[in-house]
Amino acid sequence: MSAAVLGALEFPPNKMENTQLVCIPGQRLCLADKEHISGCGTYERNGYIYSTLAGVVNVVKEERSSIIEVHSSKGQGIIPAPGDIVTAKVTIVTQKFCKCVIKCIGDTVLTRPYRAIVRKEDVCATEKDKVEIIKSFRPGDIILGRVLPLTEVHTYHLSTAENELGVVIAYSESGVAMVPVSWTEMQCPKTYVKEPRKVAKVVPETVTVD
Amino acid sequence: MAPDNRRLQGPESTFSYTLYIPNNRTDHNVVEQISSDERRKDGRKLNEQRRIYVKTGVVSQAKGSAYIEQSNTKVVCSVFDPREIPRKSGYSVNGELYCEFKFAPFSCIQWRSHQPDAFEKECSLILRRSLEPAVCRHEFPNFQVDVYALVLENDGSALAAAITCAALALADASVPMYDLVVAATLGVHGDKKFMDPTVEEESLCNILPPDGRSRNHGIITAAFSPAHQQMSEFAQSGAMDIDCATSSIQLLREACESIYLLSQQCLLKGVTKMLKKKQKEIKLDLSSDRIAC
Repeated sequence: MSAAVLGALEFPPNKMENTQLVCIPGQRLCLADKEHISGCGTYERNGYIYSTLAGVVNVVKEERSSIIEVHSSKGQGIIPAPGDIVTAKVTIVTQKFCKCVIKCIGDTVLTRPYRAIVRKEDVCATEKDKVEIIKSFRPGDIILGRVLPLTEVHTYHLSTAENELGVVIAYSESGVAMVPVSWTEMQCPKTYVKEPRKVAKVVPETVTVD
Repeated sequence: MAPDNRRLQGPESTFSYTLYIPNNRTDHNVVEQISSDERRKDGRKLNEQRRIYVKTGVVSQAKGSAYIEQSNTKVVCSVFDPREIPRKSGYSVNGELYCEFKFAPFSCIQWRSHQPDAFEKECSLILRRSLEPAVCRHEFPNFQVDVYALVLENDGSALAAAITCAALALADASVPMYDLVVAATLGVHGDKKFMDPTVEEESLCNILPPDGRSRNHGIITAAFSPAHQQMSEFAQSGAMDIDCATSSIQLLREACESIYLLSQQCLLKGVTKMLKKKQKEIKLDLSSDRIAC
């Protein structure tokens, strides 16, 4: 593989371990054959794989082939793509859908928010007919959703039909952040009032070791 | 054009101060100096380019930006996040590139207005046509990426500098591109070809050569995409015969190859700087006992 990569710069220079290959748009990375497949951030032309971004080359090794990806040094991609997990804030809730504003894609905070919609059918995986939006989301909630394939111009469709997706942060009517008590309810720590929401099962990223 | 009501315009009947300074920059001086020792006014040979300085990541508010200096010509370019295309409701498979090329009011000898005039609008069009083939527009359908190029000081070949700068700014903004675009300018006056003309040489190339031997005159701005040996834009003003135009392509191509190396180095520097910064941040996170959940 390293012999096939032409003229790529290594980072950090002069360091044997953990070297990464840095590339720029239009840089030829390697031959495009059965063993090398172009992944995100690359394109194939004239039998070679070229990079489209200025960033780091990442090679994903599979059984018989390796996928060549380029990740931008500035973080994630520019617009939400189908399949991404995004963080959105709910703005309007109606009977059939709720409108929200996408604030982050994965870990990157966006400078420019994008509009999105969660339809009634996409809120929960089970019992799609009996779902009531008002019992799943309220305006001001922060939700995690997955981007569905684009159908409409300018508006993304999100789905929260998974255990890990749904409401992450919600504020009760008294303005205090609520604590999740079950799949469908959150409780306010001040007034002890329970409010219905479609709660997300958020797995903590790191576990504290005392 | 609508009158600009928000800014204070200067008094209406004004004349440029250059009309009153001693006239020591005539066309004859420029042509004479060349014929004597084959060197132009600033000491360059006919085929020599000016020294270039490029840097990315100069405008903090923009997603990506770049700054280029070609001796005295200074251009700064900023690129912003994709946003919804205003005034459009139909679905489009490809995204759009919105380019704006502007001379700052203080950049040229003659004061330029804040509103873009016809020449700037045409340059914006040329800028867009040269960048469009290099950008992967299918990656942001229904959105448009804004590119703003501002010339801070114009000493000739500002458009070519803007094209090179804009391509770097797009790459700095992580907009997926097929290749980096570089551009160069050639000024033709009679049988002389000035590579990378200064503003004086540009105004010379805009007029017919007085001796009448040849009617070739004009300025050619060409943009190249060297990775696939493609030319993305060829803009020519003035009048010249076909042989002159086609032989100019070869000269411009060679000039662009050298600019391409500089662009590449500049981008790589930007990427390594960003990676070093990230590494430092990771080290700081590991050293402090931070709980993430």
